Amino acid sequence: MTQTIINITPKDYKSEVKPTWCPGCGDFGVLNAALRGLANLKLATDQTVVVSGIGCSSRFPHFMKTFGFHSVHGRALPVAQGLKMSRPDLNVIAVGGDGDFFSIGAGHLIHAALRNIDITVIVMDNEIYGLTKGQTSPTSPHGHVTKSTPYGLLASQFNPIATALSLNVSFVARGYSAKPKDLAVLIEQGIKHKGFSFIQVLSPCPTFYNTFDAWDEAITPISEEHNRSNKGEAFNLAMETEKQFTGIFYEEERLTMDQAAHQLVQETKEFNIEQYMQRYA
Amino acid sequence: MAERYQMPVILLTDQSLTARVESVDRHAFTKPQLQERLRYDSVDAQGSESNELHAHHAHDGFKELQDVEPILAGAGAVGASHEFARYANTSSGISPTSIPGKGAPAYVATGLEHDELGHPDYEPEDHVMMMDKRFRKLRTAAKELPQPDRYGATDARIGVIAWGSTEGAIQEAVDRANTQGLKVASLHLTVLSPLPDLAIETFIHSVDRVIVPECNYSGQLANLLGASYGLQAVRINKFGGIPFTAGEILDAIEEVSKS
Repeated sequence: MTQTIINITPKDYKSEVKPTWCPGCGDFGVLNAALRGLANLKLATDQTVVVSGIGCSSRFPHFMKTFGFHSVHGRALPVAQGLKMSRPDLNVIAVGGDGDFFSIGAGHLIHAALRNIDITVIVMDNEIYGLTKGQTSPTSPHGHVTKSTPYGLLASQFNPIATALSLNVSFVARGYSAKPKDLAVLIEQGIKHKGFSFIQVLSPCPTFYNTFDAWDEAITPISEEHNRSNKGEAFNLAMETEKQFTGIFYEEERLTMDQAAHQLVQETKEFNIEQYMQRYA
Repeated sequence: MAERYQMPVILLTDQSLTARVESVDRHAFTKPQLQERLRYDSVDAQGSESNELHAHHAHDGFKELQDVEPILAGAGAVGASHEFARYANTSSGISPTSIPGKGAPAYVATGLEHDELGHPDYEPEDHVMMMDKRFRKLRTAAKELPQPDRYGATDARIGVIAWGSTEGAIQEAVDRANTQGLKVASLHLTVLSPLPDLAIETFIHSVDRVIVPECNYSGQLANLLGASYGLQAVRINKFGGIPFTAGEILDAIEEVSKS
């Protein structure tokens, strides 16, 4: 959070590039929520960078007027982390899908989460590989039948929220693309949070795995009484399979790696090679 | 280089260089002069020089950048609509960039084929234009990058081409061969892509035979030179893990001189 500008509306964050998504794609709701969240925070477009990998949802940066980096499959987080470490003044948002973050880029997710760098991660989870026409992804349910699993998926389903909690993520939330107003608030809170913010957004793919009806029924807002600093309780909510809880599961403030590293730089004197070489003289 | 040409630079090294102890002049540890990448605000709408950075480019022979077309369709980030030509089709192939910060025009960097604004665009015309631009940039780089040093006799009949840690052994072998009355020269490459075509072709044509000693099984440099210049080199491939000695190179030179 840095410079702010006044009198700005969600439209001011929308580029003229037309989304490539299918009609009815959940990602439209996520885009609208993000535009709204950014406008509410009055983030400066010239000091905000949206980073993505590859996939339908990773086209996201092209549809926004901020700086964007549409990178390589699974590599949104390495780019976003490097950017935030070198330029802590910028607002850095990493976006992508379940394949990008939980399969191809899964290794990056683990280490980015442990570092607690102040970036916001928005995962558009449709439980399927949409861009490549409907193969199973890590979040596809066990037994799911697709062209790549004609006898049903043999692997277990990945649990993004429980994983984030176990990785000590300092802001863990889930939203639903069909509820863009609530999602905008989550995105706003995620960006405001100092630290690694992880937002799983259920965003159905009506073309290859239409989960709109199932999720309309399963979505349950987390109770107002939920204690956001109680990780055990957050795990219980995350392990629930019948209901899909939405809202903030867990939140804590702790030192971020970008802050810690810059403190270290301030405290460390400039390295003097001449002085160092004296030991060999 | 990475900053100047806005592309990845791969530094080739070998184990012989990385795993040995050697005395070096401490003055070798001077701070390298860093080059900033060309910024959109270093070129005004008329494409003329407008700050020190640009003057610096022009000063060290980087003249083509003065021909850069006007690149700003609309500046200022607030309310702007990605009208900054991040991938402007310039004569040098290098496009001025914008770095996030107050007032900087925003753009999206993408791995997809794109137009000058950075918007995805797969039309054949656009793809051809962008591929031409990328390879034009490589030609710009080839002209500016350090040229390989020729070592040894000016009227050499036998040439040795190599790269990396074999340099010392080769130069010693060249010296010893020339003392024996054999006319030998060597060319040590520092840049393998883009290859310095003129320097290599001039060298190849100035000698009768070329020897390529290298520490790998398949003769990778000889393959590259064969593919690029049709060179039928005498290959000496060593791959046991021990670097070349000057004597081994000299043996090869003597053998070639007899054939």
